Amino acid sequence: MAYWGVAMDYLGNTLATTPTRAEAQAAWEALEKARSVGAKTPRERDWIEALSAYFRDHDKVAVGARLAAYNAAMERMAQSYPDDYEVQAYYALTLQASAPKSDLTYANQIKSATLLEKLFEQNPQHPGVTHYLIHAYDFAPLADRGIAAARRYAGIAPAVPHARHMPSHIYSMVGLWEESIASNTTALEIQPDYYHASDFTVYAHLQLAQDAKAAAMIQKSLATADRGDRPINFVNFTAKAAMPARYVLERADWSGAAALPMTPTQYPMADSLIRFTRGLGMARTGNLAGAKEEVEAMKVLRTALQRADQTYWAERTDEQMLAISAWVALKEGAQDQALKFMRTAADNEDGSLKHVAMENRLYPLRELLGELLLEVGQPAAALNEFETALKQTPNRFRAYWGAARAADGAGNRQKASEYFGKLVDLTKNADTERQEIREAKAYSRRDDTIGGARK
Amino acid sequence: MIRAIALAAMLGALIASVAVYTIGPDRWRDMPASPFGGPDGGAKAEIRPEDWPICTTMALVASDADWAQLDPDFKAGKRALGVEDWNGAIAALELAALRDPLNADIQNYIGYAYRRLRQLGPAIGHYQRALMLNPRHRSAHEHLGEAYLVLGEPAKAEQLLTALENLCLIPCEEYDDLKRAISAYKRLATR
Repeated sequence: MAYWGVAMDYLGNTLATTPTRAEAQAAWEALEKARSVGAKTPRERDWIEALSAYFRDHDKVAVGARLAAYNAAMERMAQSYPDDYEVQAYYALTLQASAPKSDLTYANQIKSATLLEKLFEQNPQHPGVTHYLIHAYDFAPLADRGIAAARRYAGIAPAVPHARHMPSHIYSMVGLWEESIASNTTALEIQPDYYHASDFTVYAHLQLAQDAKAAAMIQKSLATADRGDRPINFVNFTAKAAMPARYVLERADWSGAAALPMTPTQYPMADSLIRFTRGLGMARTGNLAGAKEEVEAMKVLRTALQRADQTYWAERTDEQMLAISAWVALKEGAQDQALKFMRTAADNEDGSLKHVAMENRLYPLRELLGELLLEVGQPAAALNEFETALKQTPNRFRAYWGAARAADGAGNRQKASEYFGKLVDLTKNADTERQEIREAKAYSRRDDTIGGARK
Repeated sequence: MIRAIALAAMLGALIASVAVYTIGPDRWRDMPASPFGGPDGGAKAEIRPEDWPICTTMALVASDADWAQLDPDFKAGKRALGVEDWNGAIAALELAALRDPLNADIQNYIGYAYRRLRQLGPAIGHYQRALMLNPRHRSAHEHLGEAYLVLGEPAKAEQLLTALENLCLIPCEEYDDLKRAISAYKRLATR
C-alpha cells in the first residue's frame, strides 16, 4: 500500500490540477510495483485497482474519461464496503473531481455533499470530509449550503493556514464579511505572508466601510516579506496588486485611482489590475488622454498574456479595457458606444468562471454598468443591473449604494428605502463615515419621518 | 517590421494558393486526416509548403514566458512549432490536450500545425474545436477564416470576420489580418 500512497501523492488535487505525463508515468509504475508486491487483502487490491483506473493509458486517454473511470471504480468500492468510512469519503471526492464542467445542475457535487453530510454526522472531526464539503458547495448557487461546513472547518485543522482561510471562500461568496475577516485574520496569524488571505480581508473590510482597517491591512501585508520557503507564483502578485486597487475603487476615490502607482511585475495579469484602476480613475476624472494611454499599455499586457497562452487572463484584460473605454466614450459624448462597451464587458465577465487567484473579482463590472446607466439617466435599467449584480455578489457596499440611488431615481421609493437601509445596516460597524453612509442615513431618517406622518 | 514582412508574405502566398487551389464547399471533409503525412492528392500536390497562407499572429508562437508554467507537453509542442517541426508539434500538443481537453489554445495550435502540413481538413476540425471550447478565441476565428479562403469560400470567411468585429470592440490584429486576407482574395477573384 506504500506504493499506492506514492501514486496517490502523484495524483495531487484532482479538483484543480492534472498530473503531468512524467508524474502520471511515475504513478503508474508505482501501481505496477504495488501489484507485483501483491495486496494483502481484497480491499487493498481494490484500492490499487481503483487508482489504476485513473492512471491506466494516461498517454492515450483524456483526463475526463480517466476521472470517470476512477469515479466508477470508487463507486464500486463504496458499494462493496458500505461501512468503510475512508472509501466513502474518497468516493465523495471522486464524484466532485469527475463532475462535468458544463453541468450547471451540479448533480455530482450535490450527490457528493449528501454523502459527506452523512459522514460528518458519524465523525465531525474528520478534516477531509468537511474540506470536501466546502469544495462541493463552492459554487454560487450552492454557497449558502456551505456556511455550516465553513464555520466548523477552521476548528478541525487549526495548524493549516489554508484550512483557516478556506471557509472565507464561502463567506465572501455569500457576503458574510465579518466571518471572512475572522477567518483570514486567523490564517494570517500563522502565515503572515499569505497575501491571498490579506486580500480577502481588505475586500471584506471595505464592504463594511472599515477603511482604516483596510488601509492598515494593506500596509502591513505589503510590508511583509515573502517567507521564501514556498513557491512564488502569480497568485501572490494578483493579491498584492488587488489590495491597493480595491482600496480606491471600493471608495469611489477616482483621483486616488488615477494616481495609483504602477510598478510593473513579471505577471501581466497583476499589472493589468493596476492599469485598469488607473485608467478608470483617469476616465472618471476627465483625464481622457491618460485613460487612453492606460488602455494602450493594457493592449501590450494582453498580447503578452495571449502569447504565453494565458487566454483566461487575456480575456479579463479585454474586459477591463472595454470598461475604461466605456467611460472614455461617455465623456466624449458617445453614449451608445459607452453602453455597448460596458455591457459587453459585464456580460463577458459574468460568462467567465472565477479563478482562484482572483476569487473576488476586482470590481464587478455589472455594477459598473449600473453606474454608467445612472450617469446617462436610465435609473430603472441601472436598478436592474445592480439587482443582478447583488444576486451574483451579494451584500456589497457599492451595489447597495447604486441600487438605492437607481431605485430613488426610478421613483421606486420602497426599494430605495430598502437598499439605503441595507447600506446603513451593512456599515453599522464602519470606522469611516463615508459620504454615501451619511446620505443613506439621511434618506432613511427622511423616510421614517414620512412614514411616521402617515400614521 | 517582422509583422509587415509576414503580412506581405502571407498575402502573396494567399494569392498564389487561391490561383492553384480552388475546390468546392465541404471538399476539405474528404481530405486525409492522418497527422503524420498521409498521401496528398489532387491539386494539393501542386502547392509548396511556403505557398500556404499563414497568418501573421503566429509569428511569435515560440514565445515561452517562464512565469506561465505550462504543461511540459504543451511547452514542447510550442517549441516544435517554433522550429517548424509540425508533426512533432502535433504529437506533443495532442498529449497535452489529453490532460487539458478544454484548452482552446492547444486546439488552435494543433490546427495550425496541420495547416502547415497542408492537411486542411484536420486543421479546420481543430479550429472549430477551439471555437467550441472558447467562442471568443480570436486567433481561431482568424485561422478558420483564412482556411475558408483557401477553400474558396469567402462567405464563410466573411462570417468569421463579422464575428471578430463583434469580439474586437477595441481593435485587434486578428480582425485586421483576416480583413486584409479577404480583401486580397476579392481583388484576385475580380481579375
